[in-house]
Amino acid sequence: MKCNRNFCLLTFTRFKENDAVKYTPKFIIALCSFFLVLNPCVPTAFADGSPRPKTKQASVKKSSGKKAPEKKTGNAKKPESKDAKKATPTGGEWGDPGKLERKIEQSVAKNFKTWSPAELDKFFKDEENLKALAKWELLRALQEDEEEFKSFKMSVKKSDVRRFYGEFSDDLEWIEGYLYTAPPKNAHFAMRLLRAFIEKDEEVKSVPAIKKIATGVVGEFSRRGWFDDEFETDPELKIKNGPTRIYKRFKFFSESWREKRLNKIFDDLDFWDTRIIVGVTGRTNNIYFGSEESLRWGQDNVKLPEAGYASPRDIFQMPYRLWNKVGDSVHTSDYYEPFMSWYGRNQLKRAREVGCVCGGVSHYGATAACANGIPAVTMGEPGHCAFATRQKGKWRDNNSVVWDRSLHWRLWDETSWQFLHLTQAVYDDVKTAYAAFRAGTLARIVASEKKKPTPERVFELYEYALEKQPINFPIWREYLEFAQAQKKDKAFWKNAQKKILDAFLPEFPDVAATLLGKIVYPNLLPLIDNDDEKIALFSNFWEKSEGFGCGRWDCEASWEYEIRALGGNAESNKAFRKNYDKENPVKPPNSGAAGRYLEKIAPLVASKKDYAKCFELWKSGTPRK
Amino acid sequence: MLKKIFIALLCLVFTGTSAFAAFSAKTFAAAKKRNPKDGIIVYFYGPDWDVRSTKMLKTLWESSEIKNACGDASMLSVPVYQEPNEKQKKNAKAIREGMKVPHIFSYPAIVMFTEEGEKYYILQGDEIFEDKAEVAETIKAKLKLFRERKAILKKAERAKGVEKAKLYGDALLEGIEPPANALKIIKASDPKGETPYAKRLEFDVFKLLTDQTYKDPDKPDKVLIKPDAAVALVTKLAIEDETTYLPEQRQELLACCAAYLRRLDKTDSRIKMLHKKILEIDPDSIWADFVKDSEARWLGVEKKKDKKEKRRKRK
Repeated sequence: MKCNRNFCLLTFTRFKENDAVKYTPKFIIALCSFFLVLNPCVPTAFADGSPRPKTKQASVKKSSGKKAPEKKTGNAKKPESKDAKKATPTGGEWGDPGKLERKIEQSVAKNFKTWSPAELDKFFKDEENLKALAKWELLRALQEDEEEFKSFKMSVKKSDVRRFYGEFSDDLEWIEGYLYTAPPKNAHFAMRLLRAFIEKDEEVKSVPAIKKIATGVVGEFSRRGWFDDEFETDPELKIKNGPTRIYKRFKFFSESWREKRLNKIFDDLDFWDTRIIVGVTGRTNNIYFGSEESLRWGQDNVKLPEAGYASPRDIFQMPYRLWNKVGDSVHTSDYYEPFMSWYGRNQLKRAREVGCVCGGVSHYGATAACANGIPAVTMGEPGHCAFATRQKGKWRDNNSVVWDRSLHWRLWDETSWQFLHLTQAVYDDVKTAYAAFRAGTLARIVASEKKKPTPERVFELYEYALEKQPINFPIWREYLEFAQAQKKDKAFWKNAQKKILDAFLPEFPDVAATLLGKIVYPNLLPLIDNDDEKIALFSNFWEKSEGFGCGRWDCEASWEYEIRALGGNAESNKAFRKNYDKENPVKPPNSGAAGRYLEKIAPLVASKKDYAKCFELWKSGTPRK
Repeated sequence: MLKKIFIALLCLVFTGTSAFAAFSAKTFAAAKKRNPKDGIIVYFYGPDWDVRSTKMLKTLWESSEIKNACGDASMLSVPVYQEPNEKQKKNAKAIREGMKVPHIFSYPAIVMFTEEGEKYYILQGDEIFEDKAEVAETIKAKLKLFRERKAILKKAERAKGVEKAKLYGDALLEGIEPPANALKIIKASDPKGETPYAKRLEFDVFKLLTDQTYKDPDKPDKVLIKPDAAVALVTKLAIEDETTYLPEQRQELLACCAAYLRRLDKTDSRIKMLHKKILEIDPDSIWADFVKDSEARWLGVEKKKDKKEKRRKRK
């Protein structure tokens, strides 16, 4: 239809310009074409007379979200109707951020008489309340840097900036997609970037997939502190070019989506997993895997079905070489140096043709997967580099030699393998995850009340959040840190241990051990005088943990930690995992409290297949394999 | 006017069904059974995950240009599903039955097989995303090489001894993969190594420069022959002899030797001599860039701006 219309226009133009008689037959053809355009026989579904959408995909696929409800997408360039114009938020309230914050805090308080779960449920059902919570959360994030917040307050004096904040915060899915899918670090930078993206591409506001890409790019680059142009060596240009490079990343993925170059899976991704893809690392150790050239090449030259990136056979497309073709070692920068000009910043191609070892293979696989819209992350293993890709919603390792992994991409600072599975589990049910995060925000609002603090209410709110989603690790951590600040008593911490075990076992014993080892035990153990009580406490875990859950974890570090805790070394209580040397382990003492601990634990773990062998090796001081 | 329309319609009909002879098969077994003289050409695509390759099934694979380019080959399209249902699994299995699926790096891919099902070329990645005419040209060119190879191999079947090795050597055409058994046959027919072909096929720069008496695979630098011996050997194999090894193999030998000297003493004057020779063999190759990068990094020679981008594109 588009072609016909263009043809008509062209023909008419020529007709005007030239001799009428000469072009009479063409005029007839043009007329026919015109009637064809208006052909009443064309089914109405295809006879849409509205202006051509900016992207074909935008008009065809109006919804691309899986879990959260999508808003109807329109044509970004389509002139807005009067009604729509009226409905567009002006963002006036953002003109005075302090006032807005106070207003939200006051209005939230007014909603509750008893703060009962029923009242809370009712509160969270109202979209306006949710928007208010999100606005408050964004303001909180913007205030993290005092200087930046000052400049933010100056910037909202401009109407276009206010309008941006108005539109962003009025779109609940969008603002929550930014705030609740990763900690909103360096929010000021993120918002500045997002505004710049919108200026260049209006569909950021209207097309869900483009919105997710933009939000993911700004969210990841700001969260990870990638402000400058990592490919630039000139320090001044580095800073100056920074946002341009970030925009290029956005442009790459938005164009790829529009041109349907990404795996169909990408269309169903949420805000959080879009982040993994668009936030693929740019440069590591002067190697440009995530450069635009590299990503583009990967999209055309390493395009595989989802399972392909999880298959070593499919992804090993390069020579595995410790020394390059001329004998330079991979452990020096000389390995790629003689091949820099030929491949430029196209590291994927360089890796395929020059060769690489584990790090290159893993970055090759993960970057190529991300370039094609499949979530993938790299991870360190002792003396090795592996990667993981997601296949049918499950994370699978590739090029891995050992279970002991340290994720290069993570949301909540924890790097072990189980946390990737946990992140997936948390966001598998986005609705529930957001419900917990919203309650977390409410808890923060209540906690921010300095004049008449009501800490018990804050606890109730966190508990309400954890009832919504018991495996929500960041809420757990915040809840426990709040308890630590409030100097809660022994009963609280003992109860916390029980609740953590209930929430994370059997699937995530590592996550439970992390919370216990990092927050619960350092607060609880000093309140216990009796070693046997400590032993009983530790035994709870081993009694309830039936096995490794979603993956082998560092259970030896937990035993080591517990043994040290019984030895009375208070400092070691804080150093969860740091004290265990897997290559040179020390045989644990077997007298006194430690001996009683071993006696108590041994039968508990011996009966469990996963733990039995590990425990025997650890107990005898054998280096871990 | 009517006459013109009639002629146009006639042309339209005939261009749509032009005189291509490629046969569209439903399964690999059917394609093979037909014993096509131009082999079997297979298009792999991702129907449920890759929009581009699915679209290209119609716009590229089923176009008259490609059908024409495929000559007398049997054509087959193979869907590679991401999440197949039982019916699709069964169907895909039936299509591929008897096919030795090669390692495909990227989809879509056009794999060119001999009549016996031995792969001799894969068109994938950047090459397949060229415009249709370019892709058709590539297929034609590869098919031409394949026919040429087939004719040589036919002659080779009747030949014996060094003559057979020579013919097999001639069949190692640049642009398509060598026949699977080529090395074995060449070695058997030319046990004394009178022809260079086995050497080319077995080319391994480190094997050539390695001191065979030293056995420590973890330290390749230590096992290389002495620098003077390496220079002498490389001069003989890559400079004086221009026929045994292919140009890029000679460049690789020179580059490896130069890098070896550089690691020992970057002021060694022989490095530049070796570099010069690399550039003489082919100034537009990856090894020419290797020279420039190496000289800039280790020998302090400033890099000149050249038309590398253009060259890369051409490549």
